[in-house]
Order: sequence, then C-alpha cells, then structure tokens
Amino acid sequence: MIELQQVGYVHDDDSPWASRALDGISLSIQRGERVLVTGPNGSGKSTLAWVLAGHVAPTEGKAFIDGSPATESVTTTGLLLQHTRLQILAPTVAAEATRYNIDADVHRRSLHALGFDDSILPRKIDEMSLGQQRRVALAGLFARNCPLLVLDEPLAGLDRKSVSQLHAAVDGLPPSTTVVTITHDIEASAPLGTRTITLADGRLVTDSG
Amino acid sequence: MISRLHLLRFVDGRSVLHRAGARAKVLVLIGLVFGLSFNPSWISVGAVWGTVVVGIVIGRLGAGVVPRPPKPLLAAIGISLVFGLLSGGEPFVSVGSSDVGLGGILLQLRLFGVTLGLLGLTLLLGWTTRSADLPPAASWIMAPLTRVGVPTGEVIAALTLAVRALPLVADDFATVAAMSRTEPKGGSQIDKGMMVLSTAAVASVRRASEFGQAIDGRGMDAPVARHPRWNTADLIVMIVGAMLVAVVALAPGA
Repeated sequence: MIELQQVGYVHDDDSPWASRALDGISLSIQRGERVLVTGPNGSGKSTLAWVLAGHVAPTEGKAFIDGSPATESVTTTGLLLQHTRLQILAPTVAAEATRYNIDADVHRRSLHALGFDDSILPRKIDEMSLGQQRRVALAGLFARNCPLLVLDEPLAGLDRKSVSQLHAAVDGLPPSTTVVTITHDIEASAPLGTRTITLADGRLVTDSG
Repeated sequence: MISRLHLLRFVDGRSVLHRAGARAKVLVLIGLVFGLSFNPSWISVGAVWGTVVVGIVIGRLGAGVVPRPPKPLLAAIGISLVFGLLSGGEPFVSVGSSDVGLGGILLQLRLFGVTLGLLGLTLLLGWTTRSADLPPAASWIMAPLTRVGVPTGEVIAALTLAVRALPLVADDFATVAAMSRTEPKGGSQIDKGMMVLSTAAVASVRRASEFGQAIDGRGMDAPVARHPRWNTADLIVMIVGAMLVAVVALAPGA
C-alpha cells in the first residue's frame, strides 16, 4: 500500500539554510498494518509523517500510496499534527465535522470513544485544553474513515485514562485502516503498533517488520 | 515545516558585510529607506536594487537566499499590471493604429521597484546580521529618544520578541495553509479562506500571549547585550552607505 523508495528530504533545499531531515528511506507498509515510528529528537520522524501524509513531496526518491504519488492522497489521508490547534480550523467541535462532511452520528460515536459526551459538540475549540483539542482532532480523523492515518505524537498531553481510550479507539478502527504512529514514548505507544521502525539522523536504522 | 519564507535568517560568513556591526548596517538601512521613500526616482530604485545585488555578491550569499514568491502572489501582481496598463496616461506609444498609454503601468512598476527594493534591503540586513544583534543596535540608535520620554525599553522588548516570533508565526501560517488542503473539494472558497485566516490569527494571538507572559516574567527593562566596538568594517559600510544614501536621496527624475 505505502512504498517509499530511497526517500530523502532536505528542508530549504537549494538555499544556505538547507538541512537534511531524511536520507535514503526505503520501506513498504501493507494495508491495515499498525506501525510505530520512533527515534530521538531531530531524527526525521515528523518529516516522515508529512511525507507519508502527502503534505510534502520527497526532495529525493519517491513515495507512493497505492501506486500513486503520496501527494495525490492528501485529502484522503488523515494526519494528526503535534501542534493540534493548527489543524482544527473550525470554531467549534460540531463545525469541525461539517468541514469534512462527516456524518453527525459517526462523529458523535467517535467522540464518545475518546471519552467525550454530546455536551462537547457546541464547545469552542479555543476554550479547550491541549489534551482535549488533541482528542477532538483524533475523533475527527477516526470519523473520516481514512484508509491511512498518520498520528504525530498522539499521546502528548493526554492523561492515562485518555491514553487508554485512544488505544481502544485505534483497536476499534476497521482492520483495513493503516495507522502509522510517530512517537518518542515507545512504551506507552506499544499497544498502537505491531511493527516498530527506528530512525536516527534521518536514516532508517531498525525495522522490526 | 514547509515554509519558504526566509525573513531575518542569518547566513554564516566572513565578508565585510558580516563583520560590520548591526548598528552601522541599520543606520545605512534607515538612510536608504528614508532616501527612497522621499525620492522614489528610477535612479534611486536602481541604486537600491544594485545595492541588494552587490550585497548578495560581496556577502557570498548565493542566489538561494532569494525567496521564491508564491504563485498566487505572482498571479495577483500580473493581474494588477494588466489594470495598470489599462489605466493609460503619458507617455504614449503607437501600437498599430492606436496609442497606448504607459503612465499607469510605469507608475505601478516603480511602486513595485520601491517595495521590493526596501524588502531586499531588509533581507540583506537579516542575511548578514544575527537577529540577536539587532535589539542592541536598535537600543543604541534609539537612545536619544529616551531623553524625550519615548519608552524605548518597551519598544526594544517588543522588537526582540517580534524577531524571535517571526519564524514561528511563519511556520504556523504554512501549517494552517497545508491543513486547509486536506478538506474535501467543493464548498465556498471564501469560507475556507476565512477559516484559514481566523485560525492563523488565533495561532498568532496565542504566540503573542506567550510572549506577553515572557515580558511579564522578565520585565520590560531587561538588560540588552552590549554592542561591540566600532571596527574597520563598520567604517567601510558607513562610508559606502553614506554615498549610496546621497545618490538615492538626490538622484533626479522623481
């Protein structure tokens, strides 16, 4: 399903500020796989997330989703950002579902799975805590029924109960949904993946798959 | 992450422009800005553009420092130039059997020349000066204003934080724009645009709030680093800069 061929990414390419984030990454991820991507700070995890989600094209190599360039799947791939507030563009929780034409009942069920009740729907995004915003964003992504979800540090800012709810919600996704979780906390994220990829200095150093 | 904005980003180097202190370069910049603003002649515009190009060469910065304008901006400029051409005015040129007035488009091109020239000077300052050196330079230049009651401490604190916030805010805007592309096609583009702008505004206000807390924490009159002694590079930049300011301010043809 996902195929990366010698993918490299250089930020600010062709400028004095050029900095390499990814170098020669080759891997394939099958439909329905649950993959953890880990590595130290600055190892290229988030850049890999952006490449997988189709938000940036690799500056070297090729990234494919179902045989087409990953950038063509940008509207059907779900990406959870580290800075969640920047991805929830609507003013309220209910309005965020409308943006993506999500069925109201599906959205409500997704919110319930992440520990909210219906009172959250009219709430303003800006009045929520970081953890609540993250769970709202996750609920929206899960309700969109995306074939590929890329979650960048989904556990950041979540309490233990919310982490458990997230684990259960990911378990409840259709088996065909591919989930790639970027994390620096491999222990807490372990239930989210069956395969672990480790990056260091932009290179793939281990792949348990 | 995907931003191609390189405002106030330093490029390491050992050129005379790099070795000159921020004070000298900011003084020359102020002189050129005032000169060009009050005398926006073609010669002045050319002198400023020449300064930027020569600065890039002397500073060994490379063509890669020049920002790549987004296509929508280029399209908007192209459309505005068409309107400028349609507005006519002297001088006229004969095209076939009719006269075409170039006054509007020439005025517009000069406006673009002034705007981009000023932007280029600011970028040149940023490419050759560490951002941490700018607040002390501003503090030195504004020192006389404290005697007449201008709250320079607040201005410097705001400048310091604004310089630090610039890349963060630019990155936030780029991220919000990227997220807006994930929406299904269809629907009002105006509504989508408004949503992106409002989210970007919220993100900026939050950044501002965080910086406000930083000001509260450290106080308005936090000590600013001392500026280094004047050096030979400062002298060269000041002399050449003074000549340039004279050319820009006094060039005929405004």
